[in-house]
Amino acid sequence: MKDHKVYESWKQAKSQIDISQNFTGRVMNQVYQLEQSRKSRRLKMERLIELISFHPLAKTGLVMAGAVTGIVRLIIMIHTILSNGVING
Amino acid sequence: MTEETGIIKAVLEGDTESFRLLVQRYQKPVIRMIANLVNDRHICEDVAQDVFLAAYKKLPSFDPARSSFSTWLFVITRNKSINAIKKSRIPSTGNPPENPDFSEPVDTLIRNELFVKLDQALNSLNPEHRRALVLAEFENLSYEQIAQIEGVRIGTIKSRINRAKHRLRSALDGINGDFQ
Repeated sequence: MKDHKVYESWKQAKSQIDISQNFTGRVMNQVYQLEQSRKSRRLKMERLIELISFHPLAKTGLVMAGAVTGIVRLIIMIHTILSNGVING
Repeated sequence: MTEETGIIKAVLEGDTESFRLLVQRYQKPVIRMIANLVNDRHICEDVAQDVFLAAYKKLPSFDPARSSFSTWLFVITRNKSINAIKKSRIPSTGNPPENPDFSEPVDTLIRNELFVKLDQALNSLNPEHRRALVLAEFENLSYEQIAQIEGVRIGTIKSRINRAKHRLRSALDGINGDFQ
């Protein structure tokens, strides 16, 4: 038996693969599940946006939260500048 | 526009079912590649499932100008296989050889023994050399495609394949002839 013959038949044996009959189906199930969860996430986000846009209280809450965040950031910035100024000066 | 590009476009436009065509077209090469890279045959289909799901998620980032779909898919397969090897922590011993059936003719027994030797040699290869050999010999990919998948130069791939073949040739030492 020649080496190249052995090698070729080994290669052929390694190339033969058994695939479960429902493999494609399993993949597609996962893909559809992914799509479903994407859709529900999108829906939740849309509902949140809707809630904020149409509910005056939610709108006020969002603006307040933004303002508080801005003020806190401003305070931190001023504090950093002042403390650097004190150290350097 | 090729047929494949058309399928990809359809999937991207929301026709999820068209993705089935891509799975059917590539399931065999993907599973074969995984089977020849990962030593645990039982996890091949699970890894392949991960490959196709990742491909579906990343499909919007696929750029046909940069590579063919098959090359792009093989890159995902390569990465998933490497992760699977790391996770399973299976040493490179491979699947246990089947028990020889002594009622078989001597030629078959010798051939089986040589197959076991070749399997052992394949499993003992450096992972990079093994990947290059598997892609070239079992998937029949060009050096250029393999270089793209591995992210190295063509010369490096040629050298990896030569070294891998040398190791396999050594496994068959003692028998006349050679393979290219």
